[in-house]
Amino acid sequence: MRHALRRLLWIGPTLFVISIALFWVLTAGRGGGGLDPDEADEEHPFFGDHSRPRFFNSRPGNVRDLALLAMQSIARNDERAAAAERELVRLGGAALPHVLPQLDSLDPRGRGRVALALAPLAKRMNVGTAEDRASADAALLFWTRFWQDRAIDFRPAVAARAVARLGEKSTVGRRDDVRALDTFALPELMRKLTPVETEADAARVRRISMALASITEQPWRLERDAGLEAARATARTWQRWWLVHHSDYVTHDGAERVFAMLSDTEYGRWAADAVENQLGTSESGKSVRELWSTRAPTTTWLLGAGLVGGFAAGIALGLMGAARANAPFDRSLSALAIVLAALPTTLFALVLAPGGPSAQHAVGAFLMVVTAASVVARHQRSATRVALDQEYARTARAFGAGPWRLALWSFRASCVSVVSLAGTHLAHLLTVAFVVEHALHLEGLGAVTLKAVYAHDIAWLMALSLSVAFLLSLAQIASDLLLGALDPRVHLGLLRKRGAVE
Amino acid sequence: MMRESSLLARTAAVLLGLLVLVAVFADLLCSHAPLLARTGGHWHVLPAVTEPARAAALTRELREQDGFAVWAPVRASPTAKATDDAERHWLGTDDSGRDVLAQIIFGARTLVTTTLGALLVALVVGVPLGAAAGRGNVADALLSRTVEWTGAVPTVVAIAVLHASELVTSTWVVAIALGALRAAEVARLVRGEVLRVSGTDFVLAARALGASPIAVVRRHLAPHLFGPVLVSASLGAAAVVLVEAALSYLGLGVPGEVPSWGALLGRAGVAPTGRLLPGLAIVITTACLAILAETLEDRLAARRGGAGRV
Repeated sequence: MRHALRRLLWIGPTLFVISIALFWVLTAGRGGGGLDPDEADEEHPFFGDHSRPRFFNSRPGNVRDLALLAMQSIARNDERAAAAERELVRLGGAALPHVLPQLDSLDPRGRGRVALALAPLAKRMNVGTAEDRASADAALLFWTRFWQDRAIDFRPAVAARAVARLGEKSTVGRRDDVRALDTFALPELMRKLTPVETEADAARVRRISMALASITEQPWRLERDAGLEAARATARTWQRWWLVHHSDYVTHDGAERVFAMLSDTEYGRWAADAVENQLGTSESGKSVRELWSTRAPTTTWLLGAGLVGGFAAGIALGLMGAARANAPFDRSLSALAIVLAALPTTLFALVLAPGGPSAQHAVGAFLMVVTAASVVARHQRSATRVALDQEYARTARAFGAGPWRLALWSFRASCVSVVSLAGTHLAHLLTVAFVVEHALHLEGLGAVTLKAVYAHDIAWLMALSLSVAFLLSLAQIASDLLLGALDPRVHLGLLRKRGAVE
Repeated sequence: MMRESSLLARTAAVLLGLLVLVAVFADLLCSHAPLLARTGGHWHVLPAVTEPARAAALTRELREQDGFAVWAPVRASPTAKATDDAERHWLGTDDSGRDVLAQIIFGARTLVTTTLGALLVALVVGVPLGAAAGRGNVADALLSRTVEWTGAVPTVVAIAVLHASELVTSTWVVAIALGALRAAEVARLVRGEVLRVSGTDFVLAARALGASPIAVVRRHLAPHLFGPVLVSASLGAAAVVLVEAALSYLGLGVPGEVPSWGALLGRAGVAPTGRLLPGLAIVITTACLAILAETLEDRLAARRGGAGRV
């Protein structure tokens, strides 16, 4: 039991190592394309695309750095100034606490240029008048005043209250409060997107998504009479967007910065997506968990058939073969087993072109049973043969025990090899199950995985590998436990290894 | 009984040898260009291999100028769409017009390359790892973790991940990946054997007489390891053949352009005989390997039993 517990605890690190290794491989081929390979430069011309280091980010993104960089570029009016202007507007309200106090440190002309560059932002925030945005001097005056009046509003607590009030009820005043904070309110808005469980929640998500859409200029609004499902989907879309972009709108300090070094990476993003969105979001936009729950039953059925039916049939055939060793029955069985184990299931599938879906499921299960049984039967046969060569079997035979009875009798000794096979054979059965699904056009995990391979769907592949690794580890532990129960020597060996028994 | 099984094993060995021969001389059996040609006063030997760029032009020249040429038994290319009217497709073509028989012949080459490559990798990685694990504590812990990690990721998933990251650029990548996944198994076997033999009296005696660890490995461990490793290698080869076929069938095996038996099973537009033959070929190959493994195992057990029964 202690052994099993220790193994269970080891699953965590094992999965972690596997996830890192797989992620490294998955992102290696495309030069770190990451979660959003298509989201290229046009959206962020100033700082290039949104790709991150894969595992360690020595300089995690930060609205302060980004804003100050853009500001200096505009003030100098260098060749990237136009892009920097767009970037500063994109950063929006979250950049203001860093930019506006620094205006004084610039030379007068630079100051004016920055103030003028912020004019579209003022329009988006619905503050100031057209005259305020007309010239550099007016804009500078406006922003200086704005900061004197409103600096006190740019604090998390204020943003939280404004967003909470908007979430409860949407009035013009409340909408304007949030609009005036612009991107500074984004973290709070994102927090208010969950939970989505009742109709009231859906209404809240609609109000929040309106505010988000006008602030970020993204299209994901929720329609007026949209249902709960649509609300959930919209919330997920926004969360996904936030996952990629959040580091542009927040500052990291102290311990948070150290954490950001690890989390603001491709791997960190995937992990956060996996934790927040139920194993992550696949390329098709659905949550992986959803896909998994619709597709897993078919594969589980096939694997279950292979494991239960295949092992039962294989053990029975193996025992029979060993009891009648070298008789014609045994010979033909061995030959058949070799051929069946070798026969790719596809060949069966082509010959047995089936009818309806239930027939397909039955044929699939049959194929799994045959493939698994052919391997198991050979193992069981040779294990029984070994057991029957032991002295106790010879003694029993001398006392007149028949071959059938002997074979059954030695089963407890001979089943050990098959039980240990079960733990490792499951991985192989998964390959067979994928082939069967493909051949019979069953909609299982295999079909999704093949699609994911071509679509470069990291979320799905990671989720699949980790879930499968988890299940296989569990199966391995279960088979070891069973082994220990069946064969006390295994158990004793473990104790001895730990030094508990001499 | 003995004679019969050895006859079976011999047949299996001969068939496997044939497979290797086909793989090696695939270019002689099947080529869209002549094996030997004389046009314009020049001799061309195996133009499809020696000067692939000129092969198509040469075929055209031959037709126009009435030169001398020796053709391969199968006049087709496994990769290119059929263009020559003189080509005859014995087993038809697939949906993109490639000759099926040519793909079967060159599929043998793919199969042999993948299998031998995977075995080589598995042995080169697995044997030293297992031997080290059988002798040292740290290596043993490392091995058991590695076995756990590789055992937790099924082959199909690992290869799918490789494909998704577009790392599968040649047959060798598949071979190396399959070999690396098998290495854990080989290491486990070697570890067990090393532990078993290290505990025997003759190793103890050799060490007492002052034999160095290297001498013990060379003189006593290696001969004992040879048999089990050979058995495991031939069983492993059977497994690799099957897995490669299954993966290629799923479209996750060797890159699409490379002809492969497994891929033929699943390719659209292939006539039933065109599917049956590669399927049968896979079955026969695996069965031969399994028979060989079984015979080797029997021999090994007999020798061991004989040694014990003085």
